[in-house]
Amino acid sequence: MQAEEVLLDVADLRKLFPIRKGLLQRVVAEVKAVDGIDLRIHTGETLGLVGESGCGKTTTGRTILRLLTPTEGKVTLRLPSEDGTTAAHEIDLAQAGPRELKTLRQKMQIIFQDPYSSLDPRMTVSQIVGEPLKVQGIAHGQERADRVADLLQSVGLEPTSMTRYPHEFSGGQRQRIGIARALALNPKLIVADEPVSALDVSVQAQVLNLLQDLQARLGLTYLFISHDMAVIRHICDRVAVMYLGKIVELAETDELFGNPRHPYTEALMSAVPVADPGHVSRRILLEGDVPSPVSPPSGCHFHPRCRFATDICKSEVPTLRTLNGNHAVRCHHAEKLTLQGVESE
Amino acid sequence: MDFLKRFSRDKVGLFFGIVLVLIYLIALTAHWITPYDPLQTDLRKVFQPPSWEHWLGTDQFGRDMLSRVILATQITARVTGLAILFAVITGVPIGMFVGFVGGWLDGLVMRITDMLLIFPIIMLAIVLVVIIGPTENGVIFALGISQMPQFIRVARGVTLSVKEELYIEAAVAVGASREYILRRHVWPNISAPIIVQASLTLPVFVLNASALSYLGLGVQPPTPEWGQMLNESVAFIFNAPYLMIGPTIALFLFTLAANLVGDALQETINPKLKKRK
Repeated sequence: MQAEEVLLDVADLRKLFPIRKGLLQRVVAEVKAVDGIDLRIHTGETLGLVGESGCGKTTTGRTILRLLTPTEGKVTLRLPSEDGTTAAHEIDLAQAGPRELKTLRQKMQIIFQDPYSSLDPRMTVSQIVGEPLKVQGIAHGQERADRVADLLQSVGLEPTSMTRYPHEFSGGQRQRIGIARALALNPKLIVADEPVSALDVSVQAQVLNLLQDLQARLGLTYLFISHDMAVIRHICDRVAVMYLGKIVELAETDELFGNPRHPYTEALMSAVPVADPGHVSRRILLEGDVPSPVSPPSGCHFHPRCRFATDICKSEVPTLRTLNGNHAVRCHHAEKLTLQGVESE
Repeated sequence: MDFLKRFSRDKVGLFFGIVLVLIYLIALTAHWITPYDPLQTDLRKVFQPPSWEHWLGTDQFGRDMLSRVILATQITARVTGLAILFAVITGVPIGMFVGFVGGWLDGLVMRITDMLLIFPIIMLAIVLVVIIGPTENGVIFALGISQMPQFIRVARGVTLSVKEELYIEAAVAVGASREYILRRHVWPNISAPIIVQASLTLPVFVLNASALSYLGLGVQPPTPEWGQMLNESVAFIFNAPYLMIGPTIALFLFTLAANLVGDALQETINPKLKKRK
């Protein structure tokens, strides 16, 4: 998939959470959950966002959707005009007012990780899936019921399940309900926040395939957030690796997996189990924990755990540089290192 | 239906549930089932001890005590019911709102409720009745206001936990307004604890409504009220002690049934409480 039209342009996005203390609730420190993210998502592609827990991937997704208000930065959603004749319409999501935001929510939706608490237990399936249509005032009465039935069918659920409650469904089915709900408004962009992490492996594959089918059929664009390298490799066109609120590497999936240029990416990939009993794993064990995002290490945030770290890594913050073609990496020594990728499948 | 099945498994709760239903049936049909006119005085029949004609005897004006107790049931049921409704209607929206919004408004409202909770209900109610005047509406208002802080607290507490649920964020993601989220997501999910709180408030209101009228601050004579009837009967405690029987038993039964049904409801909704006993 090589559509070059940029749908979403994220520039220098930051989200800080203040830590308050004392009687006067003074701000004593800040958690830099998202610390200057630049991303471009092209129409029709799946961009993976991968990293270990606590690195800020979920916060990134939520800030892009304005479920959290960004501290700084620009998020531009580029919507092509309906008839294709006039120029595309650009909106800065980070600045949108409440009314504008409500309309924009039709264009971008989210699929949550936890299919249990993301569905209101007091609502029937048809109320849950029809809620976006109701809130946005798009369809009423029979029209809405028909649309809900269509949506359920398109995610592989029986329309007869409309009158049932979420607790009557399995995890995989619930996630399908969540997907149907996300599709209700015909969005352009879907942020999938670990959509399969809470599911059994067998069900994971079904849901991933469903997401791919829907993408092909409806021309969706995904920002796919996950910590699971295997899932990312299966579904994504391009992958961004996050570490401590920053993107450390961004490349096309095959390039990233075959030829990683950042030591952190290499370590992440060596942790993926290989389904081959004869395989001799050369795992790169990272020492120490993820540093606190309240006071990240100086220079390159990764240097305390990096086996290639030198003096420059401790003092200077590396920039996200573009190497050959589309491979971006945030490392001082990217050219000099020979890193181990994963053999192609 | 599942709820009713679980509730009926608690035999004590079920029995007093039936008692409570009977009390409300008596209250509803009071005007038809009273054997005599509860307000009709008959000076030829003063201080009659219990008999087949007058089961609970007659008072100093010759009024039938049973009829008066039955009419008082209706008044107590109405006053306490409306007072609970008042406390719920005023307290719950405030609690939901400040719990959902948080910030300084939440802090302010909580400190005010803390201040109101310092006073015993009866004291607050006495002050309010004195200000408003000892009428039925005055009692309803006074009781309602005195328990409103409890409903604010309960509603706020459950709202705090519900607002962290993912389905609230999911509603925000489709563009739902705050008012819509409170009405369609928060309210249905906090209603169970509110109902329990209301049922636990009922016996408190029954006792306090009677206490107010015992002190002469409730419903005014000649309208009968248990507390006021007890107050009147004290004067004749030696020559007509039977006058106390009716109001006492009625008050005892209503309070006990309401208490035990409230406990049973709470245990049905939150089964963890049962094991702790």
